Amino acid sequence: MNQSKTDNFLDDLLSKVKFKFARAEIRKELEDHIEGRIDYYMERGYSRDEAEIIAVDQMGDPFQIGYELNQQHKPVYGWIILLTNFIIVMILMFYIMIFILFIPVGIESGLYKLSKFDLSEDHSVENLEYEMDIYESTNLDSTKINFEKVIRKKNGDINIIGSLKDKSLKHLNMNFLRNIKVSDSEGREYYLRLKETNSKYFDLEIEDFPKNQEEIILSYDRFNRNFQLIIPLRVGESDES
Amino acid sequence: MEFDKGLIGASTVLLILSLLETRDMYGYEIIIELEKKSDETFIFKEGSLYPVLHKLENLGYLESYKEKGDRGRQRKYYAITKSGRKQLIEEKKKWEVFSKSINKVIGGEHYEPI
Repeated sequence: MNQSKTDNFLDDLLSKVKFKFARAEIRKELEDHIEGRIDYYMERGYSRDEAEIIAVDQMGDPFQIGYELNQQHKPVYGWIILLTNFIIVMILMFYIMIFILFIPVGIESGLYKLSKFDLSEDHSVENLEYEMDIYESTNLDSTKINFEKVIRKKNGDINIIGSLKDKSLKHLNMNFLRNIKVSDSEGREYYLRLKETNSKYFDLEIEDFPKNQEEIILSYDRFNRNFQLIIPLRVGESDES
Repeated sequence: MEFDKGLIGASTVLLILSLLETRDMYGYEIIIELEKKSDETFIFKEGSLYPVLHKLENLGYLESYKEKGDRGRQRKYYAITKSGRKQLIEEKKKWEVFSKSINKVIGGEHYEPI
């Protein structure tokens, strides 16, 4: 079968376009143009063959146009565009994944904020002796630790609730809180448990802290970073022991 | 009237950007509009439009998208971008200065002292 004038024109033109990924699109676009022109002349009484000859002739020199198009679709440039598109898609996917992964955490922390002190049964009113707001904060590197609340329970436990903020916005690992040492004013140490954590809040539980102690001392000293926090406690409000 | 290619070349960007400012168009449509609006003054080799369109797209003045036109043909439409609109203002300014200067030299009717 004979190739049409249009095909000849496009083949000549595309022979100048080195970047082969661009060829199909250019072919389609110019084909559409020539088709439009053919229709235009056919509507004015020309036969299809005549119309095609005029339409193709009107396009100009295929090699010249191909050469100029090639300037706009340089292989290196084309590859860079393909690559950037690919990278953009990858980055978008990465962010979407991060977003999806962190939605549950976000919701959880929101809920926790609304009702962070009555989430578990341990913090229920029956077991509560008193709770007290404290506004103590300390910095470890770029992380700010806010101690916000002390909960004293009837069974002798103390819970210290607080939050972490990091200037660098990186995801915080709260495990370093396990290295906080708890003691009373006489130097006795107590076991500390990092009870509940989510992206923002922590709950430190100290079991059986004597009720006659007037203060609880938190200290941290690792890798040359240290802080000490003395939290005064209420005593004698209910002397059961 | 057929113009020298270079003469048209200098103002093609201005013409294309101003046409696309009104609405998105595909290549053939741009040619037809150019013919209509210029009373067929601007008749040139139509294929040479595409290197310019692709260049403007690479420069970020235009962006293209594909859409089915009449008769179900997939068409490549061009739309002017924000930076394209900025460039259009620049091109218009340049053109004014240019045409004023030409008119000054030839003493044309549109000559206005600045």
